[in-house]
Amino acid sequence: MSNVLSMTVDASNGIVTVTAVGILDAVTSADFRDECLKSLATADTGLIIDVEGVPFVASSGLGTFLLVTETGKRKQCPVVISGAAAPVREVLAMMNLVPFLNLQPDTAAANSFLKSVIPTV
Amino acid sequence: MSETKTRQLQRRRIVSMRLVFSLTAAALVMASVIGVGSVAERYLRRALTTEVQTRLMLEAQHLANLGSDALLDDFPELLLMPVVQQMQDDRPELAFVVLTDHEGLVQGHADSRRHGTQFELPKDLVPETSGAGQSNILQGDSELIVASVPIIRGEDELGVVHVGLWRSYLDDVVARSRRALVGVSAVMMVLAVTIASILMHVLLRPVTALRAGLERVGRGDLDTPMHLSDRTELGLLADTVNDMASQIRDSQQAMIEKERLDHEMDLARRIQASLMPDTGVKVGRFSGLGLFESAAEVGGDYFDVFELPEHQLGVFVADVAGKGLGGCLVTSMLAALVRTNRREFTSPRELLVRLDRDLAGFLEPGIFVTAFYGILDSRSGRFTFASAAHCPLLLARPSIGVVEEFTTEGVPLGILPHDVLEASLVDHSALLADGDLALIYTDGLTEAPRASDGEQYGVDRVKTVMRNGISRGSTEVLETLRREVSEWEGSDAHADDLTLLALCSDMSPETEVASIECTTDSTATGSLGRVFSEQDLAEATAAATALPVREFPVAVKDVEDWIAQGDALLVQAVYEYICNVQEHGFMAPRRPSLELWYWPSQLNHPLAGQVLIRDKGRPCPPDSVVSPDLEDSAVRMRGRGFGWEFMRRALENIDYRVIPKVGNLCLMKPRPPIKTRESVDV
Repeated sequence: MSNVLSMTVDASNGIVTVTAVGILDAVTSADFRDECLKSLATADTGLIIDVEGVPFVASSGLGTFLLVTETGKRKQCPVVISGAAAPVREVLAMMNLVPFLNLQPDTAAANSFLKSVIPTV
Repeated sequence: MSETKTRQLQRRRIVSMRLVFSLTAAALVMASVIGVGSVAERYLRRALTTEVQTRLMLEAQHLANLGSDALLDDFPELLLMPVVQQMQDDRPELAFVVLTDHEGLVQGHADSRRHGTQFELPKDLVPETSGAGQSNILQGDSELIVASVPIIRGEDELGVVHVGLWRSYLDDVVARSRRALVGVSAVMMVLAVTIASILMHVLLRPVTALRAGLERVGRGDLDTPMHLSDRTELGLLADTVNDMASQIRDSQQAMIEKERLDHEMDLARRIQASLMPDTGVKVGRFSGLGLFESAAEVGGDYFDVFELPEHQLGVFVADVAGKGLGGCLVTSMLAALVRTNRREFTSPRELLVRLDRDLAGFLEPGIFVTAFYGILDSRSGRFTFASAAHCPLLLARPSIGVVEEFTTEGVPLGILPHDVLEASLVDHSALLADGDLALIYTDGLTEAPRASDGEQYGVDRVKTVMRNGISRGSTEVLETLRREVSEWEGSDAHADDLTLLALCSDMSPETEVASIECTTDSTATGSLGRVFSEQDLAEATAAATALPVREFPVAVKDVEDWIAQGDALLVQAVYEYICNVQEHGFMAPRRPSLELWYWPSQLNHPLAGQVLIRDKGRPCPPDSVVSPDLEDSAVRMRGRGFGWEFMRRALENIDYRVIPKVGNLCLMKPRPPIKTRESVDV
């Protein structure tokens, strides 16, 4: 069976939003990581990773969340993960990753969060 | 050698300084006399000539004055002849005195027969330069000086007076003067030679004592000083020779002391090297090989590789802070303690704790020990280790192209209270698969300074060497590191001890492991129980549904469909295990051999709800991977190593076994369903 993950990238007011739909498994997480890091490089003020359409995140995907978030911190460009489904949130909580990620329920909340932390947006 | 020199001295022709000095003084006096005499004679001759010419001219003028009256007389010759005779008698140096009248006839002459005859001066006379007026004439040739003065009466010239002087008169006067000078010179020369001889005798008297003193020094007698009261430079030279002898004596003593110390250091270095194995140790399919090169100064590095019971291989590496004999002694003590205790402890941590306790009473303040101790189970490849502030373990995994760095926490032995070490030391473990290479080293490797600018060799270069050389074996990796560090430091003499210890497997992946490895309690509910053979496995899985996997990657959806109605965390745990086997468990290009069985929850079976996975790759037990430290930003940046952590957290139990001829079995038991699972808040 093929592993499918579609990604779209949207940039507005310096905020880049990567929207992923599909399974974030060991195979697709490599492309997902590359796309997120590429988008982070172009983002001026913030990056939103919208995973509302991702019901499954393998450990490699979890690692990608940490990697991109940590890279954003070093670049001083906040990274927000929005719309994580309940099973994904459960995994994040179980792995004790929540304190190290910026999680928001949806993209609107993610945008509001970024505007609150970056006054110039 | 000294006899040869003596003979050379005896054969040498000695030139007496007294003779040289006296002859030199005489020569100098003679040269001075000759130089001064020649100059004085030239000036004397010139002055004498002027004087004689002037005097001759005055005498001629005086005679002319007398002659002016006499020539007016009828018989002037009678008046003039006595005057002329008197002059010539008084002055024998006068060649002639003649008065002529205006016709040139002789009127006054010492010889009366010349009266009335014509007088003529010699033909080759030439004018002289001084003493003459306009009418007075001074002429001369090689024999004569002639003064001619006219005899004037009123305005009439009555005649001429000619007075001639032998030029030899001048030579006689000069010769007399020269004879006096030569006499004085001879006296002065004798005086100079005598004085020079006496002076040299006095001055050179200390040379004999100096020579005797130097000969004593040459014979090796450096304790008898020369006593010279001489106040000249020779006395200073004697003092210098005494100082030189004293310094040579001190240098000889220092050299003897240094040779003694070098001998002791060499002995210590050999003892230190003898504490460490010079060949590799092989246990099962794993071998440990060490390399040690001491620094210029004997140091405090120590390593050991040894076989332990139960097919285990022990490796110990330590670095004593403190060089010299002190560090070497601590190393010796450490070696003895390790050899005494290594069979008593199955936990590396416990051995290090014991060493800390034993060393505590012996170490001087400021001396401490970093140590690494590891036990490798050759059957499973599990490497359990603890580190007391030692350099990180490096593990090269060619199957995935990475070199992992295991940094552990811990304090050095012997520097802090014992309970601090006990609290900080932890046993860690990693799995060594076929082809992997573990490297333990001391800071003499990574902190080796470059000769040109002091830059340290660094761990990244070590990793590069491991990555590039691992295919050629551990010996090649160690030799390459040794060579590169020497080139880096620009010398074969290292700044610090260099210790390298490599662990690797020389067995192919197909080779079967020796026995069972069980990482969890086999008596726990849901365990595999007594499954030790293919038949046991077939019986155990008879009631389960199977999911054979023939190619990678495996899709999550396939696992979900297979474990229908199963726990989502169990699905993901199974998926993570499959990914782990795919990534680490097989050496490309081998095809996977992976089988999965699931006992549905509704079955009335002891393993209901559980999943069993079998693979035949290299063993990969769940506790072989250290939990990632999320507080470490480097771990977060790496973004890897969460698969096993997920399995440990998601499952209630993992029963992992390595069974010969069967493979690696992993039984996964999910946690009981959690009703609040859907309400996890962010």
